[in-house]
Amino acid sequence: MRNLLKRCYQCGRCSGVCQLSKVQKYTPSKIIQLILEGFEDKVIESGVLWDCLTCNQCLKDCPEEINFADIVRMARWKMRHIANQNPDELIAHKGMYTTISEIMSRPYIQPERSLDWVSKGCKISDKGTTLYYVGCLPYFNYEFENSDSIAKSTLKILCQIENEPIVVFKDEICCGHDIYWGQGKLKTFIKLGKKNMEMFEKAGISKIVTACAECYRTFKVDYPGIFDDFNDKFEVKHIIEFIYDNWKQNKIKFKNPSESSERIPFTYHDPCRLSRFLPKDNNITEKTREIFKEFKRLGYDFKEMEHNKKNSLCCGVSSWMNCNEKSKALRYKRMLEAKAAGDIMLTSCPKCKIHLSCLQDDFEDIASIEIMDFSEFLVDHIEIINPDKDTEITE
Amino acid sequence: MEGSVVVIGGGIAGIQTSLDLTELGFKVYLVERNPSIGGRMAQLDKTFPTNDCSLCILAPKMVEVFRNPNIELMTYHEVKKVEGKPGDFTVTVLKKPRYIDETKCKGCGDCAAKCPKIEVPNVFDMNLGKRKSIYIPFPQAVPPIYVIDPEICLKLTKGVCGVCEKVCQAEAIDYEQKPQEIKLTVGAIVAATGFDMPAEELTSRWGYQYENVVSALEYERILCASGPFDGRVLRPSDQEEPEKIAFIQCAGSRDLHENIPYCSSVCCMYTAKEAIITKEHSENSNCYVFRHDIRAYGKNFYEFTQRAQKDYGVQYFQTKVSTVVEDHETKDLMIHYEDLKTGKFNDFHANLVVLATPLVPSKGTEELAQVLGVEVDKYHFFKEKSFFNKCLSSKDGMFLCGFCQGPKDIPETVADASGVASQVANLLNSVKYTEIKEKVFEVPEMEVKITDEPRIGVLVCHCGINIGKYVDVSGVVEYVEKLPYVVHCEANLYSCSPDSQARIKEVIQEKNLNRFIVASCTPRTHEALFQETCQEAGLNKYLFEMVNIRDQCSWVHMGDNEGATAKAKDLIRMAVAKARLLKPLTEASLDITPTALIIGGGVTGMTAALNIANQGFKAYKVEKEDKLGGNLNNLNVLYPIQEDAAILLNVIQDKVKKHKNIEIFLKSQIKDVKGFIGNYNVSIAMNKKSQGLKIGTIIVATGAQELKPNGDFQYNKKNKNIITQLELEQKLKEKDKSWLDNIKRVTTILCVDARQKEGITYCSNVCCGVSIKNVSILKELRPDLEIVVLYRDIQMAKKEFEEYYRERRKDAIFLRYDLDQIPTISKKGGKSEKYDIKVFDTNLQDEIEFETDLIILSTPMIPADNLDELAKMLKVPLDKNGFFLEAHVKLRPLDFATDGIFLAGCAQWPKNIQDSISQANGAAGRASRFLSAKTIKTSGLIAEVNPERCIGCGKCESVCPYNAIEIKEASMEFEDVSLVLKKSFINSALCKGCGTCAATCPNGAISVKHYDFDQIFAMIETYLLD
Repeated sequence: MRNLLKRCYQCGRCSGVCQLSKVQKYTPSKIIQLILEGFEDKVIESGVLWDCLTCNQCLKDCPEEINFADIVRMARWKMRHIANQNPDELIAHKGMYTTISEIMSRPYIQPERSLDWVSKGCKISDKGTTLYYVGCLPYFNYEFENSDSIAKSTLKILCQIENEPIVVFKDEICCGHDIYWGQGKLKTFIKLGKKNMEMFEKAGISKIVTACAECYRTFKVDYPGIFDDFNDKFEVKHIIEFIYDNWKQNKIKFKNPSESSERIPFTYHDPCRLSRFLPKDNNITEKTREIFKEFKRLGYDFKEMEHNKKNSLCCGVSSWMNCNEKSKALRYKRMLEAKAAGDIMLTSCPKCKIHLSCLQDDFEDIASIEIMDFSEFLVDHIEIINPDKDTEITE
Repeated sequence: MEGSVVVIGGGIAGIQTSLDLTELGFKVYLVERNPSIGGRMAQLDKTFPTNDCSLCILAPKMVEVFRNPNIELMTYHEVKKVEGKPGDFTVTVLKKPRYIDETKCKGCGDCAAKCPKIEVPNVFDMNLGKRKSIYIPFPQAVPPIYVIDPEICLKLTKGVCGVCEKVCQAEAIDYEQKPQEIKLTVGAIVAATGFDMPAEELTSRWGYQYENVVSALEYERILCASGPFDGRVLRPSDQEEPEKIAFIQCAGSRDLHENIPYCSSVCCMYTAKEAIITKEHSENSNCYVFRHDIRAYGKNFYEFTQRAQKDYGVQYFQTKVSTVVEDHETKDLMIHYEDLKTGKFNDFHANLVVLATPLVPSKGTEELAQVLGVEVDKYHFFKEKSFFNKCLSSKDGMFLCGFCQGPKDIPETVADASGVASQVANLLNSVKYTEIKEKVFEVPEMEVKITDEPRIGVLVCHCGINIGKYVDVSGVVEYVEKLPYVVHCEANLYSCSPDSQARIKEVIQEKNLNRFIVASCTPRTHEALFQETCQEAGLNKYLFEMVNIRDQCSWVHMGDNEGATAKAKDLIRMAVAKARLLKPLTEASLDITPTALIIGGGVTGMTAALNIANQGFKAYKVEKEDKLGGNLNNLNVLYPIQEDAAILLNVIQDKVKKHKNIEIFLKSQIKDVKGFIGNYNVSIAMNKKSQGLKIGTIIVATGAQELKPNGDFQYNKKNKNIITQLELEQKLKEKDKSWLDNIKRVTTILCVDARQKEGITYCSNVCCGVSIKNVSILKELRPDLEIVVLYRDIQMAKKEFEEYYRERRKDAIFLRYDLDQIPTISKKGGKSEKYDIKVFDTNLQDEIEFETDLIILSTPMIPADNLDELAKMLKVPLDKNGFFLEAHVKLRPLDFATDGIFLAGCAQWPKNIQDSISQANGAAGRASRFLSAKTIKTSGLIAEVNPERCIGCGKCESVCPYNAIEIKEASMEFEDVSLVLKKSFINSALCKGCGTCAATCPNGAISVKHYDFDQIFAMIETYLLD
C-alpha cells in the first residue's frame, strides 16, 4: 500500500478535483503525505477515510496513477479491525443490504429468491452458457418502488436476442461489491467470490451479463485480481456492451415504438464504476454514446451534461456509506445538470438511479426529470433483424 | 567510403550539423520533409534566457545553409529507404512534387496574391493564421520557393482555375510534376527530426477544447510580430486583449495518465520567457504561472524565472491545477487549484490559458526508425547506443541529434550537432575533403580606386512589420534617393531572404555600383551575409555598409513613427557619407598548426582529446592533478545506469593513454599563452620544468568543484556526521561500510546554499539526481535505513530522470521546505552524533521535528579555483558566477568570442556526464574545423599604425585587450643621421579591430580600418550640418 502512495509527488491535483471536497474539507494529497511521513496512525484514528465516496475522480486525474480509492478500501479494513472503529451508523438503511450479503457469504446459506419479476415468455434455465446476473435488484424492491423493472427489462432484452434460454439463478448470491468497498471486508468478499465462481462453473456458464455497474466492475476487475483465471473462464458483459455488440453484428436495430413526432431530449449519467473504474482500454462510455447517436434518427436528442464520461459527477453515495446532507448536496448538483440537459436521464447503475430518484422526493424543482435505467429505456426500442425464432414476450 | 552525409531534418539541429560537417570537409544532403528548413526554432518568437528574436538569430544560419556550396538542400523530400553499411549507405529519397519548378521560382509571391480565396489554416502559424493553396510557409523560408497544396488547389483537384500559371512571369508553375525517387550514396546518416506538441491529444481536463486555451507553441505564434495577430497579445475567441493570462506548467508532462512519463525539460523556461514577452508586448496583460517544480537548470535559467517575478511582476503559484472550465458566455476560463504554499483551494479567473503541453518525438519518428533500422526507446524517441554517448544510434554509421533523442533545449541541441559532426569526422576521417567544393566567387573583384566617383546603392528593409510598422519606409527611400552619390535606392520586405541577395547582386551589376548599404537590422547577425553577397557581385566586402534601423529606430522608438522615421533618415545619411570614403581592404591567409591543447583531464577533456586525436591531429592534455579523471575519481556509482564510475573512467582513460596522438602532462599548469588562432605558443610548467608547445586551437575543460558550506547548516569539524554529497560519495566508495552501522535515519537536504536570493542564485542542475541516486544506494546497503529528503523543487529534467526519480520515491520520505523557512539543525547532547532537525513542511503546512544520525548536504557546483588567471592568459571572459562565458548562450555554447578557443563541460556550467561528453565532442568538432581547414583568413577590419606619427609612447600596448600590440625598436634613416626609435606594431592576426588603441593614441597615429577618423568625422559632419 505504501509503495503505491510513494509515487505521489504532491502536486495536489487530487484534492482539487475531489468531488467530496466540494462539500466538506477533504484533501487526498495531504492524507497521502501524512501517511508517507509516518502519521498513518493519525489518519486511521481520525476516521476521515470513512467519508471517501470512492468515486475515483482523484485517480482519473492523478499524474502518477495512484489509486486512492484502493487505499481507502484497504485502510477501512484497518480502521475496523485494528483501530476497532465501528462505522455501522454511517451505513444507510440500517445496514440491511450489507448484512444480507454478509449472510450470503456463509457456506451453508442458499437463498431462495423470488422470480416473480421474470416476464412470461422469457425462457430461463438454471444451466446454460449465458448467465444474467441479476444482483440486488429484487431485494431493493422492498424499499424502492419498482426496482425490479430493471431486471425485468434486461432479461427481456437478453431473451429476445439469444436463442438459448438465459440462466437466472434462483439461489444467486451477492457479488460482494459493497462490503468490499464500503467496509473493506476482504475475507467476506473472497468467500462470496469463491461461492459465486463455484456456482458459475457448476451451471456451465461461459458468459456473464449484468445490468449493474458495480457487479460489472467486480467481475471485470476485482474477481480476476483475486482469482487469476476468472477472466479465462468467464466473459463478462454489461448489458450496454451486449446490446452494442449485437447491434454492430447487425443482429438488432433500434426502433421507436412511439408515434409522437415531438423530439425528446435526454441525457445520460455515467456511473463511476463504468467510467472511472475500468481499465483504460475499456470504452464502454464511448459505446454508449454511439448508441445514443443512433437514437437521433428515432426522434431523441441526446445531450451531455456538463460533467460527463470520466468527469461525471457522483450520485452522492457509495456502497451505502454516508447518506447525509452533504451527499444530498452532491446529488442536487447532479440533478441540476440533468435538468439543463434533458427530460429523461438514463443511467446504468441501479444505485445511481435509487440515490438520484430519492432526492426527487425532497426537491420539487428536480422532480420532473424521468430517471430510467439503460435497460428500461432500451427494452422497447430494440428490433430483431432476421428473427429465426418467434419471440413475442408478453407480461 | 563516401565523403558525404545525409542529414534528416532541417531544424536547428540539422542546420548546425550540416554547417559543421561542411567545415570539417564533408558534403551534406540536408533532407527536410517540409517545404522550408528552420524547424521549430523558426516558429518561436524569442529565445530564453537572452530574449533574442528567434528567427533573427536563426535566419542567417538558414541562409548560410542555402548559400553553402557543399550543402545540397533537399526540402520537401522524405527518406524512404536505406541500404548499406557505415561508410557506404545508399539512401533513397522521395522528392515530393511542389508543382513549381524550383529552378525558376523567384519567390515573388505574385501567384499567392492572385490565388483564389480558398484559405486553409497555416500550419506554420499553428493553424491560427490562414494561407492560400499556393504558399511559402513563412516569409523568410529557405529556399524561398512556393509550393502548391494539392489537396485544395482547384487546378489539381478539379482541373479548373490555373490562375497562378497565368500570373507567374517566371513560368515556374508545373502542374504535371510527379513524385521522384533519388538515390544518394553517403558515408553516414544523421537523424535530427525534432519534436511535436500535439495538444489535441491531451485529455479534456486541460481544457484544450476551449477556444481560449492554447498550447505554448500556438502562443509563440500569437506573440510573434509576424504571427497571426501581428504580435499583439490577443485571444482567439474575440481577438480582445486578455487581462489575465494563466500559464499552466506540466500540462500533460510528468503524467502517466497522458502517457508522458517524462519531463519535457524546456517548459519552465519558455513559460517564463512567454510571460516576460507578454508583459513587454502588452501593458494591460497580467501573467500568472501555475507551476509544480521549477526546473530551470541551465546557465542563468533560474535567475531568469526569478526576474520574471521580480522585474516583470509575473505571479507564480505552486500547484498542479485541478480543473480548467470555460464560462460559455464570456469564453473566460476558471482554474480550480490548490495553492500548495498556503494549502488553500482557489478559483482563478483567466481570460486566456496557455498550456505547457508535452513535447513528443515528431510524427513519423517510428516510421523513420524502421526505414533506418534503428531502435526507439519506450518514450518513442530514438534510442541512444549508450547513455554516455547520446548521439550514437543503435546502428553504426547512424547518428542522433537534438530533440529526436530526448527533450533538450537549443544550446544542448547545438552542442549535440557539433558533437555529431565531429563523430562523423571520426568515422569518415579517411575521406575528408573528397567531395567538397571550395567557395569561389565567380565574378572577379572589381577594382575600386579612391579617386573613382562613389556610386552608392541603398536597400531599405521593412522586415515585415518589424521596421515597416514604425518607420515610413517609402518616405525614407524617397529621401535617400536624393542624397549625394546615391545612384539607386529601393525598399524590400525581407533583406535577408535569398531572393533579396539575388536582387542586391543584380542591382550592383546593373547600375555599376561601387558601394552598397543595407538599412535593416543588426550587423551582428546579418553583416557577413550581405558582405558575401557583395563579394558574389564582385564588390570588395569592405565596400559594404550596414545601418541598423530596426534596433535603433523601430524598436527603441516604437510608437513614435515620426521620430523613428526621421532617425532612420539621419542614420542612412550618415552611412552614405561614410560609404563615400570606404576603401577596399584585403584579408591575409594564415596557416594553422595542426595541434590542439586540452586544458583539464576530466571526462570532458579526455573525450575531447580522443575525438581530436582520432581525426589524426595531435592533442596535448594538461592536468593539474597527478592523475586523469577529474571529478570522476571521486564518484562512486553513476546514475541513471547505476554503473561503477571506475568502469567509465578506466575505459576512457585507457584509450587516452594508449593513443599515439595524445600527449599527457600531469601535475602541470599553463604558464603562458602567446600567439593567436592557429599559432599559439603555450608554455607549460610541470615539476619546476617548463615546456613550450606549438598549438593550433585550445579547448578549456577545467571542470567544476563542489561548494563546501562553511559554517552553514552546522557544517563544521565538530559535527562529524554532517557531510556534503561528495563526501558521502567517497564514503560509499570505501569497502568498509561499518560507518553505517549505528545509523538509523539519514537526512538529505537539497539546495543547500543554492538558489538563494543572494550569493549563489543558480540551480546547479545535477544535485537532485545525485542525491536521489545516493538515497537508493544507501537503501540497498541498509534496507532498514530511514531516509528523509528535504527539498524545494526536484530537478529531474530530461527523458530518463523522471522515471529514475519515480522509481526511487519509495526509498525515502520527501519533505518540501521553503527558502524563507530553511531547516534548522541542532546537535543533541551526549557524545553520539545525533541531530535534531526542525523544518516547516509546506506540503502539510506544519512544523515537523525529528531526530537524525547523518545529514547530507547537497551543495551546488562552483567553478574550479584560479580560473581568473587562466582566463586572463587566454583572454577569454568569465560570467558573473565565475564560469567561463561562451560567445552566445544559445547558438554558440562551445565557442569563445575569441576564435580558436573553445569550452566544454562544467567549465561552462554544472552538468552531468552525459552532457559533458556531448559538449566535449562538440568542442572537439568546433576546434577541428580549423585544424581540418589548415588555413584561416584574418579580418581586414584591424587597426593600423602610421609610423610617421607614432612617437613610441607605448600607451596603445598597455590598453590593448588582445595583446596584439608590441612596441619595437626601429631604425630610422635620415640624410645625416640614423635614429633608433620606438614604434608600435600591430599583429593583424590578433587584432580584433576594437579601436581602443586608436582612441588612446595621443598623437592620432593609429586608426582602425573601415572606421577611420575621416569616415567617422564625415558621419558626424553630415549629421550636424545637413
